[in-house]
Amino acid sequence: MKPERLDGGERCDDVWMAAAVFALDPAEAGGLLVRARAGPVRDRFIGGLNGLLDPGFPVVKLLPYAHLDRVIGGLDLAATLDAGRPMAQRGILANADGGALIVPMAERLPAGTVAAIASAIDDGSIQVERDGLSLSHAARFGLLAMDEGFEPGEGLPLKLRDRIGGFVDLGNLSFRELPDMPFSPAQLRAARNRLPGIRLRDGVLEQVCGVAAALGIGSLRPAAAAAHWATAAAALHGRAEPADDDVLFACRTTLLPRANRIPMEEEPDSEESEEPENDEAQTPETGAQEENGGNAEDAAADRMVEAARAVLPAHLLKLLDGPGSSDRRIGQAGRTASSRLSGSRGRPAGVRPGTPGPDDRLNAAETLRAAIPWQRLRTPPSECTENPAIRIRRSDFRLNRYRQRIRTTTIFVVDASGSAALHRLAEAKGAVELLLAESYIRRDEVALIAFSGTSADLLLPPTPSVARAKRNLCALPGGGGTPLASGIDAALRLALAVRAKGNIARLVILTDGRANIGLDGTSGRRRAEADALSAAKAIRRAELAAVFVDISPTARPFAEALAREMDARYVFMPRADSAKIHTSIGAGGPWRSDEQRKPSSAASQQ
Amino acid sequence: MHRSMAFPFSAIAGQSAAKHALLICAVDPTLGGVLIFGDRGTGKSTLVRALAALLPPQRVVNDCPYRCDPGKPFERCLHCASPLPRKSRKAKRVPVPVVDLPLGATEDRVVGALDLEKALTLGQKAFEPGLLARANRGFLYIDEINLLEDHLVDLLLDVAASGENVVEREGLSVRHPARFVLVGTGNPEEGDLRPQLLDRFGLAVDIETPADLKIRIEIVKRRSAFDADPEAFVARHRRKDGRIRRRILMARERLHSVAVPNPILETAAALCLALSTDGLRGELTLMRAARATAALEDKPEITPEHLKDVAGMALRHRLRRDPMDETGSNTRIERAVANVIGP
Repeated sequence: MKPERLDGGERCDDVWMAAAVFALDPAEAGGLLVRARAGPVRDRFIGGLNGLLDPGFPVVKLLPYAHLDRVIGGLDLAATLDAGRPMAQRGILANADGGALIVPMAERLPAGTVAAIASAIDDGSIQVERDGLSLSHAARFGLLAMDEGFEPGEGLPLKLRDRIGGFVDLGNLSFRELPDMPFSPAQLRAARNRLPGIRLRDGVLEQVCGVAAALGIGSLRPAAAAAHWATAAAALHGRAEPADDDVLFACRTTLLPRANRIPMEEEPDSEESEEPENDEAQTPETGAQEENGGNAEDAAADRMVEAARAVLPAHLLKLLDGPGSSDRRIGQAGRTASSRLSGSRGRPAGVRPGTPGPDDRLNAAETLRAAIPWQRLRTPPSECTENPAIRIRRSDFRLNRYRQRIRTTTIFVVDASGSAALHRLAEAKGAVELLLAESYIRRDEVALIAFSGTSADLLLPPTPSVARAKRNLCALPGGGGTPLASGIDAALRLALAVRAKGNIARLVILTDGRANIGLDGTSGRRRAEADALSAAKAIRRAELAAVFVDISPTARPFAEALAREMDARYVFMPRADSAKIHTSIGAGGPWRSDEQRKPSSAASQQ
Repeated sequence: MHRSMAFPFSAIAGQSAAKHALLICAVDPTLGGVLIFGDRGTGKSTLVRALAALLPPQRVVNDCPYRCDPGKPFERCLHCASPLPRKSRKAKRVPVPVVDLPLGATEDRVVGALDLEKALTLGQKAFEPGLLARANRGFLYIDEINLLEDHLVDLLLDVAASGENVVEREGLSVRHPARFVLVGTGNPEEGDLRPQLLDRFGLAVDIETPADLKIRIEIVKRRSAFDADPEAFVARHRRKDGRIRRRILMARERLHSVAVPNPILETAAALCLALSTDGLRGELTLMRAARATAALEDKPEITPEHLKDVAGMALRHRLRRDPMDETGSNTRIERAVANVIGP
């Protein structure tokens, strides 16, 4: 969801206000998410922010691929060898205690680090149970996350997003538009002194909770953060308690950017969002589908989902597994989530003896444990004058092994256009649902892209949660043109992002192939088809495994050509006659399955 | 607990199912623990930490690293089985441990390993107990259980099932008691739990953020009051927390005198049959959770109402389910309960 569009002045004010609220008390502010690409605007913002921070605050940087032992802390090998007894090394999170933790490229944080940061934010401390050490360090910091993920499916991990206080979007702000920082360090000091004395006037909590609820924010953390932001804004403005402006500012920076829905009844003119348009597009269609509406309509949709199961070739995903058909660049079969052993990345998977190479991580504790039984036998050579506390030989070295799980991400690209006629869409939903179930069994990740109108939307970034995928799918409205090229293009970009993370991407495209909207959003069949074909070529060039499911009532040469162009398996999903399906569901008759795998024979059967 | 102060259990608004499940486990620790699944920001961690602060202290053998009960010390306990000086046999009262299994914990700290410090400085071969030892007779709390590394999950399952931790490494051969209640929390949107682990949990509850605006405001208000002055806030709720603590203590004493009438056993069996749950674990858990509920309510015997109360949390994670059907299990249980017990 895009943040509210504000006029330039207000937006820039908010940017510096957010920086000031963060600088006031980074931990209490719950952190700040800065969406911006690296560049002069961001540098200027960070520079201004740094100038506001209390000089006594530590500012610590955490790079996304820092090892967990650096993040959390562990045994300090050098100090241990020196002292002859175990010496601990504080982690990055503990070092940030009392100050700010800056995370560039936060969208690339691995799950383990995300969880460690989240638990430190929750507890204000970090527990170390590693390498024979059992320690607890204070780790109360404000997270300053730089989100450079502008591609679909990228962004700060949800766990941290929920805990972050405010949002700053420098995305389309030019250097000229960003005014000078309006606060001086002295002002900040004064505000910092005022902050504890600021009372939250009655009604503010009710206001922010109400706004959070209206925006469809389920979690309660953002509402609590908004209350603090209002208080901090009051302190910065020298007020004794938050004024309405402060509360509004807090809602704009903490709540609005995470809105899941835009309230319809209130402020009809305030938001320009695509959401209402979608709703409008949906209404006439659902009305056309079932006049009696309501539950009957839901029931009809359910029946359609069931119906699709009847006509879907069994184990469609297996088609992706054929020889040479999976992500060819990596050459993995992808039958189940596979893994590779690695020297430096992934999840820990035990230790092995060996000599450390450039990519290996020495496990200090295990190395010491391996050396200890031999200490008495290892008398130092007579010419050696120094007598080290611990005598370690090459054979003692123990290296960490990591298992990097390679996930397969199946990207579903669903045609939600008007031409993919209504019940066809329901069938497509059913088909995707079935495929999702298959993905679940294989413990793959799934992502969902839908295209209709003039653009393609990422409805679900790659997730292992099939429940979530299903929910988003059920909410998918239909109608509008067929921007097929945009859909394929969005899928390609997502697939490349998935690949960049070391995972395997596969596409399942469900469409009737009746492209009529070009890549630039203009209508016109010829242009649209040409765009679609060139988008398809890009899929082939990227060597992505794909299945093209034709959901049109009759097989069309263009769809087949398109599938050929992207080197995808072409599957024709024959027309599901709802009456026939009805009877077959009622009779519990056998589902049609394998014989429909061949497009030509399936077409002739119908 | 190293945390300075926990949010009072009695001040947590809503979340009745999760609270109930935790109380049941506090009364009957052999039930197999609780799995709490919920969205972001629903206060899962708060609940578990609140329970920790609430539990009545337990008697342990002085100096025993495994916290053996002086009444019935573990016969194979390294500490209590050895001929000890009389002083060490003394008992003391300590808080029930709630041990966090933090993310990034390494295997040596979980199971225990050769004590590096002693080995390096004194040249002694000594066993340094790990988190499993510390959790004995208490709770092992795993936040984000779905993110736990696979090899640790395997290890935990093994110990949780046997109640004993066997360590064979670095020339050490150690076994010690490790009976603990697993409390896991997680967010279903961050990945599913392995079915093997799911089944080990006695109870499973889903918690949701309350949709009611008044309750939501109340939660945020209480939280900010707590953050502003934890001591005063906890003091305000001390009396209520004390009442819950006494309820747990009484229920523990009564637990084994709660009668389990035959018709109740039949109903429980019929319910499990109707839901076609796998194995007998469902029936057993259902019966024991109902018994703990009856004990908490100071009732002499289990009634069908008790079964109804706990059917969801005891059975929902044991249904053979369609992976697509997240909400289905609750509805299925409700339907079966209505059929077998009546509305």
